Amino acid sequence: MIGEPVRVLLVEDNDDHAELIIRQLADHRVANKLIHLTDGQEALDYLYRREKYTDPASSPRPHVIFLDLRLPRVDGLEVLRILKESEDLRVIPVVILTTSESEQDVSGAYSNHVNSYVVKPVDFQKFQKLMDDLGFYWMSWNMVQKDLP
Amino acid sequence: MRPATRGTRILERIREFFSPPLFSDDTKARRAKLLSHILNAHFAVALSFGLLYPLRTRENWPLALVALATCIPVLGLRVLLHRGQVTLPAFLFLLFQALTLPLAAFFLGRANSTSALTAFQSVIIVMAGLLIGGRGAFGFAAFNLLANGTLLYAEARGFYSVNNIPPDSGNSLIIQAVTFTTIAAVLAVANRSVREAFAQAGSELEKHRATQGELARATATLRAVLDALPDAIFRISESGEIQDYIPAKGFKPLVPPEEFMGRPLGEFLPPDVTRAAMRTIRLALGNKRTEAFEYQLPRDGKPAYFEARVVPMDKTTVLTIVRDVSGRVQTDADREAMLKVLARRSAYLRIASEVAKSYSRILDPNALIEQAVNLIQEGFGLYYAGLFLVDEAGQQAVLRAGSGEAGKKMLAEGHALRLDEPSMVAWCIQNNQARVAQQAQLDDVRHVNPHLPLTRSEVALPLVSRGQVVGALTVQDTDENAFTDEDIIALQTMSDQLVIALENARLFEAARSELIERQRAEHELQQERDFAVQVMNTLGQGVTVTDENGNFEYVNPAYANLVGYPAAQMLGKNPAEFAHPDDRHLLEDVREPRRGGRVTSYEIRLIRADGNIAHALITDVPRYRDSEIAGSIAVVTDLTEQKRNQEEREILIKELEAKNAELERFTYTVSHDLKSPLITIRGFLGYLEQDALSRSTDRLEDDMKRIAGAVDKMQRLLDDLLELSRVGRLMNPPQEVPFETIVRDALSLVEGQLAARRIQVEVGSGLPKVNVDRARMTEVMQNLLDNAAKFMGDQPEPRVEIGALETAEGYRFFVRDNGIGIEPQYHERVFGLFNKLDARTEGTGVGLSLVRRIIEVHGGRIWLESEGAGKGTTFWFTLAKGEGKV
Repeated sequence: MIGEPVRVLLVEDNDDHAELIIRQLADHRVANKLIHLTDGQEALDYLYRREKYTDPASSPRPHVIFLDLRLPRVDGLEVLRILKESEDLRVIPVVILTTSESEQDVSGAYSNHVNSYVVKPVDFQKFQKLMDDLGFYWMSWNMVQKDLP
Repeated sequence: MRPATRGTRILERIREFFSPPLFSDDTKARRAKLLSHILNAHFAVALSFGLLYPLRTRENWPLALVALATCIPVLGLRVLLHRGQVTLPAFLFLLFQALTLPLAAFFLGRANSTSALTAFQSVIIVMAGLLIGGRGAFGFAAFNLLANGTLLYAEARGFYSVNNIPPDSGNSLIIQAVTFTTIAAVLAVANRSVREAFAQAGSELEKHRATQGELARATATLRAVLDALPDAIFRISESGEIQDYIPAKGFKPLVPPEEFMGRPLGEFLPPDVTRAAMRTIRLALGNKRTEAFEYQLPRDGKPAYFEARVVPMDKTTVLTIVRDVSGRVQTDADREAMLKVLARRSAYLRIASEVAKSYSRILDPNALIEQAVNLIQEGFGLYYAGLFLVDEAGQQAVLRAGSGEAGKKMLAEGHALRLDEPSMVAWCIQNNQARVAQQAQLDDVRHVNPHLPLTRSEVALPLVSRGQVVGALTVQDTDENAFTDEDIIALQTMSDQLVIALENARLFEAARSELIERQRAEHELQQERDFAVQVMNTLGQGVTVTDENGNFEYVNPAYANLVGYPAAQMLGKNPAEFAHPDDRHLLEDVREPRRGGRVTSYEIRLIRADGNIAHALITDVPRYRDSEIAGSIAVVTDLTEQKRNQEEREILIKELEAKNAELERFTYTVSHDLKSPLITIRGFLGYLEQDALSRSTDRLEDDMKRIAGAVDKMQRLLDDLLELSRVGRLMNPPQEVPFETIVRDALSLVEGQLAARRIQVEVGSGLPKVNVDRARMTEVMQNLLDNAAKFMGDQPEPRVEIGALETAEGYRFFVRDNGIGIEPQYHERVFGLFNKLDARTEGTGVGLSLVRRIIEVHGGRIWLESEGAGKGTTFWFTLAKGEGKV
């Protein structure tokens, strides 16, 4: 488990939020394994290896996806739906990381087979704690599937 | 009669054959008889000659044979004779004879003695005269002369020789001619005279016969008359002694003839009859002319009438012809009786017609009865007439009318006769039969009425109505045997009539009371109906009634009002005419349950007179008429208002839902998007704090910048939200402004951005005037131009085109760029609040939301067209002409 780098795909349109997340996750040795994309369409292109992401070597499969809901072009829930309907991509755990506490978003995510739904806390202490826990859980405790397609 | 044997029958036939036939014509009969005898004679002579002649000299047989042969034609002539021919066989026979004589003379030379020939020929002429007539005699005379002449000629020529006799010089022929002609002439004369004599004798006989026939007929008539004469004839002497008697048919003397023959009248006739008879005889003898007298004698206990006519025969005797005239006397009596009956009948007729007249006039049963009994009593000249009717219980006959004072008294007493007690009235009612008492006191059942002491004969007649005895008529008279059969029949006829009249009167009264009852009921019904009509007229709901053909028979004002036609105009029309074409089937569908007697409710659209649609709920109830379903009654509830409200409510609900959804999205978006900068601020503030504590300054500036950026973003967001919330809430009054002005205003606001990207703007000519919130519309154009500039991409010849099209609904404006374009899936998203297609572009994502909101507030709509990335974008929006709906 230790020494096995876990690839994280972070889909977050807000640069500031991305910086906060990346900065906090850095402690969990994933910083260099984190891919940050800023909209839903780009995330799908990456995962389906389209457009500029056609080379598998430069666009390896992530072990876990941290997905914001409010995204330009393709909304987070739509991205989730497409992933979970894909035979190949549904195996990748998806964690929704959003500011939305809306019941509609929560149920929408779960009905699309989301693996986890996490709300970004406004309180900085809590934000730090959440990121620590998330990092620790997904990168240490959670066992990932090897040899992803 | 002795039965004829076969032999005698054959003999009879032979005799018949050889007898002359009978003819009605005397001459013919006579000639036939003569011919018959001649033929028979010839037959006999020829037969005997033929048989006997050869006996004398054998060599004579050929002549004998000839003689026998002549018998056969003679038989044939007989047959002709029996067939009714006389002249023909006579002629043939004589011709045969006439030929035979000269031929025999010629061939045999034996019979050629002139005298013998002449003698035979004379006989032939005589026979011809007798058998055929004068002409026959002359004919054969000529023939004989011709034959003899021929013989003489033959002899002169020497064709044959005559033995021993010198040839005739022709004198014999002259003698023969004279002889023959004389014979023929004599015969002709004789014949005529004989015929004349016969004719005379015949007419004499005829006369005689006629006289004799008349005599016979007269005798027969006389005989018949005498036979048929019903009179007996007596010859009586002056002293009255019966000397002779001729009985007559149908007249049997009262005393056997042996008792009165030769005896004076006084011994067997009553003295008065004897006296009358003697007086008449003396009178007849004295006056020498026929006298008559009538008398009466008892016969079989009844008087018999006789008429005697006394005819004087000589000075002392008379013939007395007696005739039984009892029949005539009886007939006279009968005729008198008939006349009486006739007179009575005509009286009945008169009474009956009077009664009938009064019957038909009087319609009050009581008055009718009273009138009837009075008419009968007076009309028939009776002592009393009364009428009883059986009471309802059928227990007794109650007197309803009585004639005269007695009647009045009895009526006042309430006279009634129990049906189970004896009385003529009760009897006739019980037996449905007239009861007649010609001698009242002798009747077994008669009830003696003290009010009617003079009654000697009485009749009770049943009054029968429809086979039911309803009462009785009683008529009484002061004489015995007062009622003849005719009377009773007439009375019965009258009572029958009376019953009918009574029935009629009763029916009339019943009808009248029923009429009154009906009128009352009708009045009540009318009132009920008035009430019902009033209710229906004032009812808010529509009420319609259709007939069995499904057409309107009644519509109430509410229904007429609902459909918008006058009620009168709808009557007789089919409800389908007022239904929406797509809903007409509903009217058909309801027929089946209606036939089953079920009530059905359904909603239907009606086409009003003004062309608008009315919604109605119809409750269809089967209409019963005489327990048959005929048409329907429908209650119609106007649902139009309700429907409209419902539709409006639905629209409102939809709008509200849309608003709610928008609001939800808005609040959600707002909370989400407002939280984001907060997280950024708090996050970097946290790092700033950590850095401050650790006195690290590496990231200080960058983090501060991030915080400031987040604050700015928040500021912008709040501004935009405020702006958005103002649209529709805080608007400027619309003003008419050329759209070109708005475009110019907007261009001046975005001049910087356009210039920075070197964008060429083309504004179409002929932009219309619009009636809008000028500031807001400028904002729309500003946003769209800003957007175009923002998403121009790396287009080397950036260009924006602004124009307008005129359409039916108003104007359609467009802003077209040749920028990066928008892929089809995002065409709607771009108008969503805070939705941005590129996270890194400037702006909050409120712009297009704001644009849409402003356009919608103006009553228009907005959409975009783009064929995809790099193909440019065209935003379209519509505005109403002239006035903007704000």
